[in-house]
Amino acid sequence: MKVRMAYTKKEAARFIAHLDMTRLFQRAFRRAAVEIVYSEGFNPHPKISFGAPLPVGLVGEREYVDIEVMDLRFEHMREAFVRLSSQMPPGIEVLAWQILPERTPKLMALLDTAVYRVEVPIRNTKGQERGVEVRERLSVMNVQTVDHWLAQKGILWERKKEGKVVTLDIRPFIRSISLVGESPAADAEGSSEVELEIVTVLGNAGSVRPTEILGAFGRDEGVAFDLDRARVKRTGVYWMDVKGERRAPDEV
Amino acid sequence: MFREKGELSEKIEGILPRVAKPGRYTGGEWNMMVKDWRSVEGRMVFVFPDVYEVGMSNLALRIIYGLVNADSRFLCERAFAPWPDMEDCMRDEGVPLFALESKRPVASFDVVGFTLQYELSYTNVLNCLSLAGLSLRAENRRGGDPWIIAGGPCACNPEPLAPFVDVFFLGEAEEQLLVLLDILAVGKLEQRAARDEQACRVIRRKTLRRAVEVPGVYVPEFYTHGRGLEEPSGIAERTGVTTLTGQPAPEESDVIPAVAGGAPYVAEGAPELVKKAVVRDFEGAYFPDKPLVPYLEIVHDRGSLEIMRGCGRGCRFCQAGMIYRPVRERSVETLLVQARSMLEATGYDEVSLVSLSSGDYSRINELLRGLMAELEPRKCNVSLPSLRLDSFDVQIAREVQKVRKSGLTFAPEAGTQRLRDVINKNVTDEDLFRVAEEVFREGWQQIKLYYMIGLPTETWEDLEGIVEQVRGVLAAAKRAGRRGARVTVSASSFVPKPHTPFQWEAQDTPETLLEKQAFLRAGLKVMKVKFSYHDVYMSWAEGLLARGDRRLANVLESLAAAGARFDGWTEYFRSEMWREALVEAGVDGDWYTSRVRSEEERLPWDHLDCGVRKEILLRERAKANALVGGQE
Ligand code: SF4
Repeated sequence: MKVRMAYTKKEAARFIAHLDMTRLFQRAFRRAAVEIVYSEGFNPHPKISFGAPLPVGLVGEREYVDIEVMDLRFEHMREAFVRLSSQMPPGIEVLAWQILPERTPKLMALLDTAVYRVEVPIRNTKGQERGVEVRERLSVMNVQTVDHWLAQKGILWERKKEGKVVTLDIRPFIRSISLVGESPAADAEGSSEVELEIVTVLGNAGSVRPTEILGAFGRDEGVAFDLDRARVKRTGVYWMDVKGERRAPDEV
Repeated sequence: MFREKGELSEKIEGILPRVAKPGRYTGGEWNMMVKDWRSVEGRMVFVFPDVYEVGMSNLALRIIYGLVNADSRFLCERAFAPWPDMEDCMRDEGVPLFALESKRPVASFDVVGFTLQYELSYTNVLNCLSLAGLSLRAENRRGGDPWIIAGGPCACNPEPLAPFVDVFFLGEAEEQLLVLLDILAVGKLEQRAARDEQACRVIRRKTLRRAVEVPGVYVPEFYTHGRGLEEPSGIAERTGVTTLTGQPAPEESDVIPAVAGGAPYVAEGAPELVKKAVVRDFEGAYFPDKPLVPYLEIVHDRGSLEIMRGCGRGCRFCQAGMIYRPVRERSVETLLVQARSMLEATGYDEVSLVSLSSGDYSRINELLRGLMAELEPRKCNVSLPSLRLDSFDVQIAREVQKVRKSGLTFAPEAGTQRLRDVINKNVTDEDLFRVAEEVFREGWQQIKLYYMIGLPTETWEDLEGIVEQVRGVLAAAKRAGRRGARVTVSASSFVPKPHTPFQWEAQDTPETLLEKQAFLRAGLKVMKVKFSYHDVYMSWAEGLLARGDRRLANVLESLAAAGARFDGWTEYFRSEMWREALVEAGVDGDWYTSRVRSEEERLPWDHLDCGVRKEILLRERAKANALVGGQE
């Protein structure tokens, strides 16, 4: 039987690479004595599949994984859940699990939306009057500017990957950017901080990171985001139903 | 700096998004032990002077981490050498070397314990000290600084590191380390309460004197250099006996921390001969049954069962075979219990049998059958990394294969019977071909052959012998009907090691080794066999340190100053740096590596007893000289 599990990836655990998560669950399930089903064949591997990989270092508040386990009697589900919860490392918390009905689409095929919260400092640019500058910066992040920026046909971004530079159009991956909060002049250097919600498209065509989006926005609109110090968390992953409403992966 | 724990954690977290594999520095592994700093009397940090993935695979780390933490008086945390990308960020941001558990600076512990697993990690030892913000030389450290201790196989000749380390520990930790820690913790407590540095020095002396009473403890500052401080010039001019390799031996040489003629050179109270610590009760010795389970993939990512310690085969080049004696086995019953509890605590799906020569375990079949019964229902595997030809049993391989087919390795070590007799490797061509044919018939597709080049008395004929032997293995594959079989050959370079019958021999120069490698490469190429070999300059540097003395400390120090690190990694090893450091220190490197040492010469490790007496080594050497096999 297949279970879909919702979990967090926080604290030190957020630095665990996506590829290492399979092994982590495999071992936790073994310790909890919940048996995972393995594929047949010469090199059997555990039937564990994720939706959208969460980039290393980002907090995930509600991530999902599908795991095929040996059938559990319904009355043992609760107990197994408790055992499993106790075998997860700090930062990984099992939030919920449910048995998936037959023919439920895979996470990979289902998910099309990711929602991020980003808290990012904006550096003070030299030679400017502090008060003036902060006001200006905040005005840069207003609805009109963002809408105007997003109204472009394409937004090119140079992604550096293993020493190579690839140019891609990130516009199709952006659903929305909204300003959630702002805190002017947080420190002595006069930098301020904004909190944003960024919604992106997930899918076969790849994905973009919120920091890449902010990199491009900052470049085009002259905002000095301090992306090295950005705190990014993914609050959830979703799929859009026919009416265009956001639905959680466990709403299937 | 960084008195507050959280302050450093925050800085580290700020760096992590910028480095490769941040999981190396976060801690948080399953079964990690975080003890309350104030609830214990002694705080130790175990530093593995190499990258996380290597260090975490090491059994000594697992044993010591568990052993110390299991004692309510102490805590043990871990630190690893940060990979250069991380080190650069740490230096930029002013982050000192820190322990993964509490993120406290290494310098704030009472005891910093290094493990010396290979010589080329010595530059990392110094780099770790410097990253920790500590003075390299013991004499420059102050009472508030931690004790620096070091153990592991290379401690059997630790002289190149002598000025940097307060206490070396020779031999096995399980029964004596806690005794030593207790003494050091008390000393540190007293030092921290002391009025001034003068008082600290008195306490230091007193503490170290207590420490030397513990078996295995070697305090280098209690031993001073003897005569022969001047390096003899022009070895070639010397006359003397012709030895194994046909080179003339010098009459007088070497610098030693002398114990010869005894007392004058040894501080009162310190033993003239330091004996390694040996675990008497191996069966009942501490076993880490809740080992750390890392998240990022490490080199040996599985549970380890130490089935046996020591190896009785007596190969003459092999240091491990000499210094881990006597041979001791754990009972099948104990091992099965250990395997079960380890699997339950870790969730590992593979158990690896650890020993120098697992095929020699007297009840190996019974053990494997027991393990299979335990593991198969859990879908776990057993792996046997050190099966070797001379003890190889196809039956054993078949047992292991039942769960998973792993590659097979054989180590004939030398290409001709004559040379195998010299090194006391009792394997014949017939054995090899017969077993190879058998395993190919059993269905294995791949065999790996391990050789060593540059062995004493080696000639071109012996190298030709390697090529011939490989040809024979390929023919065996053909006979077994496996035309697609893959045979790979690995040739390491022989490095003479202390406490072995070959400790007096000359090491081949890098130039000679290059020639030999080229010869093999050409010979194997026609057979389309994959051939791998070692960097000859790295072997040279390894040999330099392995049989080095205290003058090499200056060399290490200038290497560290020049930024040497990760010298065990081909991509970071720079032989020019080593040559420059030798010149700067005014030390002739070849004098350590390329000459045959006289049997009368005092060797830098002669005051350290690692289990095999010098007479026995001499006798074995004489046998090798006479080209006879056999052992004591
Ligand atoms: S069999 Fe292996 S471990 Fe034993 S002495 Fe020989 S080389 Fe060393």
